[in-house]
Amino acid sequence: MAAADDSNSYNEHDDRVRGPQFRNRKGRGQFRCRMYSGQGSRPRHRGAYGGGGQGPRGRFEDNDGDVAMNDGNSQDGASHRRFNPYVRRSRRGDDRISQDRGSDGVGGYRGRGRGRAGGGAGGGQRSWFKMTIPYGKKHDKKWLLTALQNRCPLPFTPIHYHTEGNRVQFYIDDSTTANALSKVSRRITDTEGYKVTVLMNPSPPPSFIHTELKPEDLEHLKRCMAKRFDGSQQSLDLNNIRIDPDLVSQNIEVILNRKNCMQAATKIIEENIPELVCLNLSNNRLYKLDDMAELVNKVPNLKALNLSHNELKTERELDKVKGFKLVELWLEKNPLCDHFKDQATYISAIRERFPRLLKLDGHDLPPPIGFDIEVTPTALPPCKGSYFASDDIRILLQRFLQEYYSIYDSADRQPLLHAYHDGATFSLSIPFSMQNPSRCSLGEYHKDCRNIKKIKDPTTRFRLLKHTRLNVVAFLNELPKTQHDIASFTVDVNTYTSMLLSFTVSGVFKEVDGKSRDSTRAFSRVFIAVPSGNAGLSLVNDEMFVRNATTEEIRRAFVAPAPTPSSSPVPTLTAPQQEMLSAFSLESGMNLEWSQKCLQENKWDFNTAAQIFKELKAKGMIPEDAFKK
Amino acid sequence: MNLTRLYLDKATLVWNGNAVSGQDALGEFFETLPSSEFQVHTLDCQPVHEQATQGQTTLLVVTAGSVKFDGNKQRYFNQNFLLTAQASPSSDQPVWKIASDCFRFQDWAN
Repeated sequence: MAAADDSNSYNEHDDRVRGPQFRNRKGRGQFRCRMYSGQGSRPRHRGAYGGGGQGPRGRFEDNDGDVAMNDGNSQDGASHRRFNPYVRRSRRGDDRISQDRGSDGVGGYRGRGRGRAGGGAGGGQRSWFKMTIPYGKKHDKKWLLTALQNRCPLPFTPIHYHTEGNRVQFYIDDSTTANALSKVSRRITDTEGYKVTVLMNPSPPPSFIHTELKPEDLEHLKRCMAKRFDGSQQSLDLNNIRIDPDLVSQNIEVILNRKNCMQAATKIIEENIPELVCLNLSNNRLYKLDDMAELVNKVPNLKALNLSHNELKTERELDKVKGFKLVELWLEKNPLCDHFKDQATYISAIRERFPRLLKLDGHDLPPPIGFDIEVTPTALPPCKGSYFASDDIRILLQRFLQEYYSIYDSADRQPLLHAYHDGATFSLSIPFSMQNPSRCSLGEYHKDCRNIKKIKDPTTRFRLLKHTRLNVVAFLNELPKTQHDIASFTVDVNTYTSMLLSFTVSGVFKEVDGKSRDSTRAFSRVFIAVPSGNAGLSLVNDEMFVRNATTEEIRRAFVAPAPTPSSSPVPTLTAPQQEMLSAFSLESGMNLEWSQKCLQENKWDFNTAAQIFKELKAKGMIPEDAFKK
Repeated sequence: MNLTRLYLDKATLVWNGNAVSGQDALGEFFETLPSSEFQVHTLDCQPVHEQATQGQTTLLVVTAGSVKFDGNKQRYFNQNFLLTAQASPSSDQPVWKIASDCFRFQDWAN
């Protein structure tokens, strides 16, 4: 059933840009779910047509063989023409040519079209046009789009084709194509003898481009993608996903050539299957790859990509995803494939983007011969926890942070004055988000963010750097009230001398009042301290970076003690006990269970417990299990 | 250009909890890292109080952004440096040298 649907919509779609359906039927169903050409029947099928002979691949034989047999040849002519202007006159001897010449010129379009295709790589520069066809509703969609494409010198992709009243409307996202299409107006006569009018109006980008999918739709999409994921191969099959019955039955439109949908799919992949190796995106009407570019950094292991049966019009689109280290790639049945005069040119254009490619459209390529350069490593050194430099510093800092944050998390931060040097400085920064800053929920911190990449004005820079401890503490007092999860802290000692101790603390906290109550944030904070009387520290510099916690960080935050009745006879801990437990665990390095044991046995007296712990540890009397987390 | 030139002879790098000290060790450590593409999104800096530096002009530079190491997915990081102005053997003008460098992935624990 699904396969039949595939070919239906495929034909419908293909008709628009290439011509009658019979030519395409032979491809029906075969590309579905085939990630590896070796698994599919495609090569055999290809063999039957192309015989692996001199032609680049079967596709070119298809075209040549079909030219005289169907009306689609004018389309082939049109696409060739853009790359080889001399073909045009010989191919098109009908009266349309004189009309074309009479108008402001196909040549003009051609030139601009090229320019645009080149500039398209930059993305984001799209201009949108709404095309309206009055009384278009009475026409069959397939008939109408085929008729338009037959007359339009440039291939076009109607975006969001829909009817409004009696009108048909769709969007075109570049002016050259929209212009060309508007010139088709009143050149087509319908079966009733009426001329078909095409109106073109500049328009803002259609709203669906920016609308995010609803959370419940995302959940359906996620489940649908899980169903289409094969864990043993790390392969995800999104072939023709818009007609997936699970989505259609829920009335969810997943059209991957729309930014919002591609973004949603990218996010699901990033969060759930970053190890992805094979991705099938065939039959998704992709005509640009801008929205896919983001995926490149999310799935470094991707080796096989199927983009066949889409609407990619130039190989330059592939530049946007050339960061993928592809070994296999399918591109057949994209308009771009028709632009190459022979197989060698095609392969070389594609390999330029993907030098490691071994298979293209299911055909083995001669292995690439590279240079004997040193292979760079890809493995990163393992990440480690806190780096304290020495036990003395660890004990000093853990005490300091315990005390600092117990005041910082209290109702009044004024006592922090004791922690700062008279001439202390403080500043705050948050991640800079290109996207909508107003949507950034770090609102409370936003106005005080001192990102000097953005803030160039010296006065503002100066104002955002808080000088002297009175100002610093007064400012800290204004920040949202918090509760830090001390067990989440990681401390790195950057540098220490007899004169200074510089350390970085990162971890998570919760806001406990105000608009963002209960939001979990993550922070990274650099302190520089000088020694002060009675073995204490006096902060001279303090820079705090605050961001929203990730899902994973939220999951791990504040999980500290959850003693169950079976594991512990003691009832649930009070909040101060929990805080003390986190701190004790951090300081002693023991896990929560043993930390709690030690505190309980010392009647929750932190210092006594710490003293006892040190003595026992020095005697080697604490089992290794106590440090296993 | 050799990256270690930017560091003081006795500079310390703490990279995701791995401590590396001295130019030679730094050079070796950088060799083990895959090639990378950094994007700095946030930058802030403060003059370090003179009491901590014995009058040596020093800056605290704090950055955050994203980094893509070859063969790895893109990740977010925080990094901070202490820069100190040093007399340069090759010029009359002093130069900034990195006295300490602290780097951590935001999701290092995952």
